[in-house]
Amino acid sequence: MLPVFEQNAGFIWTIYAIGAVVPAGLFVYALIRARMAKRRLDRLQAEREQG
Amino acid sequence: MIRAFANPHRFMALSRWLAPACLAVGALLMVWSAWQGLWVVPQDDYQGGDIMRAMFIHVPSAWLAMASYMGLAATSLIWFVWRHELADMAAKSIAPLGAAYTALCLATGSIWGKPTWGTWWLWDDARMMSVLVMFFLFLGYMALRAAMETRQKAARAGAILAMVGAVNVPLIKFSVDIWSSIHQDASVLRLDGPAMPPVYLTPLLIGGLAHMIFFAGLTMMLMRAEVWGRRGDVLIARKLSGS
Amino acid sequence: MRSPSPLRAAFRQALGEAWAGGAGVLLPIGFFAGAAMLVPFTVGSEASQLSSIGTGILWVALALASLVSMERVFQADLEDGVLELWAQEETPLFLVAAAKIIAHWLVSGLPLVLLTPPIGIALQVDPGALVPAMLAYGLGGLAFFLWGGVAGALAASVARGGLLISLLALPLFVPTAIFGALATIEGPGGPSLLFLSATTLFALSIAPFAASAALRLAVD
Repeated sequence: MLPVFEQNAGFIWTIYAIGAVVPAGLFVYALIRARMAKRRLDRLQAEREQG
Repeated sequence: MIRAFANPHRFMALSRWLAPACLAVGALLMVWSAWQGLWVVPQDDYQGGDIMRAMFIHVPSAWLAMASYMGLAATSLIWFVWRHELADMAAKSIAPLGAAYTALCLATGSIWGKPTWGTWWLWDDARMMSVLVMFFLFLGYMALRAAMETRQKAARAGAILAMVGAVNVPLIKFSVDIWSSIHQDASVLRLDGPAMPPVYLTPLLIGGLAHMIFFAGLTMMLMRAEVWGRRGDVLIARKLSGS
Repeated sequence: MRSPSPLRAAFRQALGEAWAGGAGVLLPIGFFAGAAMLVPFTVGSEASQLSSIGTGILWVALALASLVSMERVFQADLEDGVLELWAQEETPLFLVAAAKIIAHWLVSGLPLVLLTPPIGIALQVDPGALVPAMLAYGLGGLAFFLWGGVAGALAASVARGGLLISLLALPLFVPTAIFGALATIEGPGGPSLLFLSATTLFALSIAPFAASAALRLAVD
């Protein structure tokens, strides 16, 4: 059950939401960059082996 | 272990398991700390009621902001002196992460400030102002690297800027402290006023550790992306030179 | 025919460029005066309001004016190839960088400092306070030009790098702005003037080296 705050509930939840979204977002960003770089490298290596 | 950070191959082997491990451990500790902050920790009327729960997110992000700038400066110095390519990749990777955490700190601080001080932004708070300046230092670093023509130049320019910024940070902090001590009135809450009881301190410290470990994992991931990117560039260069 | 000491040449050339540009020297002055003049329109012309922020406005205008012409200080030399020649000379590059920055300051910064009393009067600042404040503006302005020089050197190879220069330099301006503003309020007796001098000396000791490292990388 979610805790109920008497006052400032909106502020508290917003802060915790941002506190979850930012690390998660950075993780997604890092993941995408890593995947794209790996894929690019694999593609270039494959081309090199073919050519 | 140190050699793993000088040698790209060893780094890739190490980070292959270490990066996910850091991300997982960091995430778990973050969840624990948040759970403590939201459910377990009792309300404290002295600190302003429930809103002080914000500190479990805001304070770790502030620590991360400062620590990541120091990391940026340290890796820049290491690269500048020893030219370990990995150090430069670390610096390049830390910058956007540090900027994001700095922004997180400013945002959560602002939202915390509104019900506490009645205003979205308090110019008088020395820490907020220092973090704001640090945000611009990160942005400037990223903008400068992006503007340089070659990767080598980007690394060199970035290193110079990071080191110049680093020696200025204590001065900036000092000057902002003096400035805010003149303008600040006594009603501003001091987080570290009375000694913090363990029920608050432990989740706070764990939260800080959690974000730091997670940050390390993220940095390693971006460094891996950088290593792959540069290997790809080498292949392209070879292709163009016809070998 | 042996060329004169590169240091003197750099200094003279920087001075000459600023004056020969004509508009070059008037540009920061015009910016400074114009920005200060805009303030009463934006803030309101009530005397008490203006006088309380007048000294601060002058600081902001001085900081921004230092960045206005910074783009051309090193970039022109980079484009001409002159920078490359200086990098190869025996004279240490950091002295050349310092000479250029100081020349730039003498031409674009010092006149602004001398202009602070009349502009301050227009902004309802107590004129009696302004003349001793000129020392603070002088010290602070020099620090602005030094850090601006580092930013300008870093961005020398970047086309239209003016915005980048400002982004890089402004965080470095913060201590000078803070101590400078306090020093103008406190007057010569207070501690802030000493802090201000210290931060300027700090800039003087670091900026030329950072700028020369940045110039070397621009030249390579």
